[in-house]
Amino acid sequence: MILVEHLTHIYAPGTPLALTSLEDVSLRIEEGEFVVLAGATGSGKTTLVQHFNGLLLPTAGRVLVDGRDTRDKRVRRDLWRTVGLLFQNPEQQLFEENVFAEVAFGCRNLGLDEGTIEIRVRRALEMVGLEPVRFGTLSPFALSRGQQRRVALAGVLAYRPRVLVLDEPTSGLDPAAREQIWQMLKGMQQHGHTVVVITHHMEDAARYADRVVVLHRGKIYRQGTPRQVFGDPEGLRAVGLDVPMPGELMYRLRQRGLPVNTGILTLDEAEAELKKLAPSGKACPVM
Amino acid sequence: MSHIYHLGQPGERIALQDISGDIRQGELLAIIGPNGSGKSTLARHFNAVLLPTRGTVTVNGLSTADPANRWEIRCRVGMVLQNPDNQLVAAVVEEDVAFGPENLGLPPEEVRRRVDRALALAGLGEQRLRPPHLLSGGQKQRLAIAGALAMKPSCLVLDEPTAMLDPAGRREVIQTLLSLNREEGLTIVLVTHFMEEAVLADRVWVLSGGRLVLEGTPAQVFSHREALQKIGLALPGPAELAWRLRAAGWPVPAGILTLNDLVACLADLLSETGWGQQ
Amino acid sequence: MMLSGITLGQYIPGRSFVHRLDPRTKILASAVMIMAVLVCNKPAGYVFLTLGTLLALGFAGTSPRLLVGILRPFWVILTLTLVLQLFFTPGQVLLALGPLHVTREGLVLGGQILWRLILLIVFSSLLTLTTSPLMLTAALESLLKPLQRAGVPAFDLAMMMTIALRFVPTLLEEAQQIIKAQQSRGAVFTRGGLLQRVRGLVPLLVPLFAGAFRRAEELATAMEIRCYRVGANRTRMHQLRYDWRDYAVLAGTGTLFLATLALRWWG
Ligand SMILES: Nc1ncnc2c1ncn2[C@@H]1O[C@H](COP(=O)(O)OP(=O)(O)OP(=O)(O)O)[C@@H](O)[C@H]1O
Ligand SMILES: Nc1ncnc2c1ncn2[C@@H]1O[C@H](COP(=O)(O)OP(=O)(O)OP(=O)(O)O)[C@@H](O)[C@H]1O
Ligand SMILES: [Mg+2]
Ligand SMILES: [Mg+2]
Repeated sequence: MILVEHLTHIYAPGTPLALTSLEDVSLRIEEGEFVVLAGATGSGKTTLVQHFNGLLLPTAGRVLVDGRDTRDKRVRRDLWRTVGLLFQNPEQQLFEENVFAEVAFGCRNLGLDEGTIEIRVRRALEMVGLEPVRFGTLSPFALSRGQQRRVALAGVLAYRPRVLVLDEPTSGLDPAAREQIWQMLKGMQQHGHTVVVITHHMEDAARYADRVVVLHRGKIYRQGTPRQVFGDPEGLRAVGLDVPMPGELMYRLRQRGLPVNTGILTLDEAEAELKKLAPSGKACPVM
Repeated sequence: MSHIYHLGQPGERIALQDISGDIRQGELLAIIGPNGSGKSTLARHFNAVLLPTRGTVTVNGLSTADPANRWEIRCRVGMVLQNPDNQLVAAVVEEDVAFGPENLGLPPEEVRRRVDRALALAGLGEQRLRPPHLLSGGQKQRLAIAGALAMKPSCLVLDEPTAMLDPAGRREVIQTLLSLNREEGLTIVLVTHFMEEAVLADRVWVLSGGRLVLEGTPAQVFSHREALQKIGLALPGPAELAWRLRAAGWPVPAGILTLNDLVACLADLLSETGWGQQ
Repeated sequence: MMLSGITLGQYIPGRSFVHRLDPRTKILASAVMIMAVLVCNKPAGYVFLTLGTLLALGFAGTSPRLLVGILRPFWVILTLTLVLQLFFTPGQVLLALGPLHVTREGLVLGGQILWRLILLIVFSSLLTLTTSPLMLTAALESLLKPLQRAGVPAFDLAMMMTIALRFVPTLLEEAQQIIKAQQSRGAVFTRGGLLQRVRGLVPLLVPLFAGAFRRAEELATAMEIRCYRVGANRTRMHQLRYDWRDYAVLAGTGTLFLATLALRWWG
């Protein structure tokens, strides 16, 4: 689906501000996969995903989407239909006068008729937890930041690109909305979409990703299933990341000599694991 | 320091309604609430970026409504806005941090000292000579924090300062804030969506629909699991797990909020009773 | 796209000789050089000025690539100037292309004007390239101090000028951002003839202006929350101080100016 080969990216090459933000990155994202990109601040996540829809071009190496090279102008022109990108800052993405027009922008460019657009916009707004009637006519700039992020996300969802590339879609969202967005993305995957998400929430990454890719200083540091990647707390801490809280809890209980399984990623797993320790037959000890 | 509110901010829609409360000198107050509940609007009242439609906000007895007080208030109450892009004023990281102290009319050596310290505290030493608008999202957020710290305010209001930071960065920033609060008596108002951060505060305010719906110590606030979930919030992970175990009949005491609490409690519980030793 | 981030009026931090000059020196020297370019009318003068420019570029550590980047936005104007002069200056015909004649005088005049424009662009860019906007304000304030004493609000004028200057890159950035945002959801800016392309820019303009106002407002808030107030006494982290380098540069540019002036009158 997306194939990155020996990608190097240098910002402002040949000037005193030149900065190598990606170095020899190779990555393959399969059709229908749910990939989470993690990495410390400034590790190059945003730079990497902006290559996926041709906003940035490789300084060296190449990026293929559906087997077509993004350096080709004609390929790039239609890339947006396949790869929808959510920018890291909602302000980077919003420009229309009202929320409806903002969300409809992509659909308009697809050439859909007004009726379909209206349905899709409404659906997209509901998917991100905004009531279409209440928010449709407001200016995106008169919203709270979390609401802006949701509008930006709806703008990508509405025109239904096959690949969703989302740069921190849940940062600044309240816990309920965060949960809702992740669930919704998982649902999109089940409907055949490919999903690439950047996030700093390790617990969410562990719960939803098929594969976690960790960047460190412009290079791929680790990749694998959440269980593989989060199985190495020291390695992750060394690059500014962390393991999910439940994993950490088990790890510490283990250190205290309790016979718990440390390969735990989610709260539900932790709950089940702990309950195993107290067979239901035994009476509860009283403190 | 005291703030007294009783306000309603307009814009056709009411963003805040009838909020009253005070922030005490030297405390760490966390403000949580779902998206659009009015946290940022409220935070912007604390240093007169916004003015109340009704009611008053006072800082050290100075009303924010009086234009004569504004400069003084802003020197005392530092502010980190929610969108770091909005706070860049200079073309070099270092000069951006220096902007505040320069406005205070401090001597050059003192400005230099504060800039160096703030950059070190925010972990931006390497970036000091780069143009701010070319930094990554998280780096900009650190810059905004450094800019506010350099002014050495007596109260610092931070609107989701860690939203775009990696886990280590988040921990670092929170640690820095905690130690400034404990050691230098800096009053801190922290708006956040991370319940794990709110737990570290002395007091928590919960906003919903522009109203102050819950208020108290973290232990008090996070004992209202249902109420929080109904408005779109959640318990911090460890507290949630403790709650579930308690619901399953485990003798886990109430008031467990942090991972440390939970580990200590479970370790005691499990080893004392010989559970799990089968 | 290649030089995205390096735009008109952009400052590039560095530690070169020119970067470390006192900003007042740079303002004065640029002003003197610009005057020199304007009074110059002899080939020898152009040689001097070109050498001076190359020297300045060298001391500023400017790469040829950056130079191209600086000049690129102006290529339409530059070519147009040259073409107009080439064809529309009467004189000795060198080459006839149908009804159009390239004249010797046209070639000389066109070349001169082109070269002047290039020098002017390079000089003004060099100033903004090597001096951060806040340092420029500081320098302007210092240079305008006599006016302030005379009751003109020079300091606020200086701050306003800096903000205006800072706003150029901000606006370009905003434009770039909106283009990126629209492109990533299917807007097309690069298809069709010139007219179509120009028409394609219209949907850009409305959000651009709205964005500019928003940015201005945000900047004002950002400055205010850090205690900026109009007319207050600000101090500076970097103290302005002339040293031998500044005297050398000022003496050098002064000499160059006098030399071009002398050439104009007596050369
Ligand atoms: N437009 C730009 N010009 C020059 N350098 C840039 C630009 N954008 C980012 N950088 C630099 O490139 C590096 C990688 O940035 P990038 O935005 O990809 O990081 P990131 O992993 O997305 O970080 P974050 O989690 O903070 O958003 C950083 O050091 C950053 O300072
Ligand atoms: N400039 C504005 N004009 C009009 N209404 C606004 C403006 N900014 C925010 N609002 C509205 O005021 C309410 C409160 O917004 P506020 O930004 O304070 O929320 P918040 O609690 O900070 O949310 P978030 O968690 O998303 O940052 C929201 O309903 C929002 O839509
Ligand atoms: Mg990023
Ligand atoms: Mg907010």
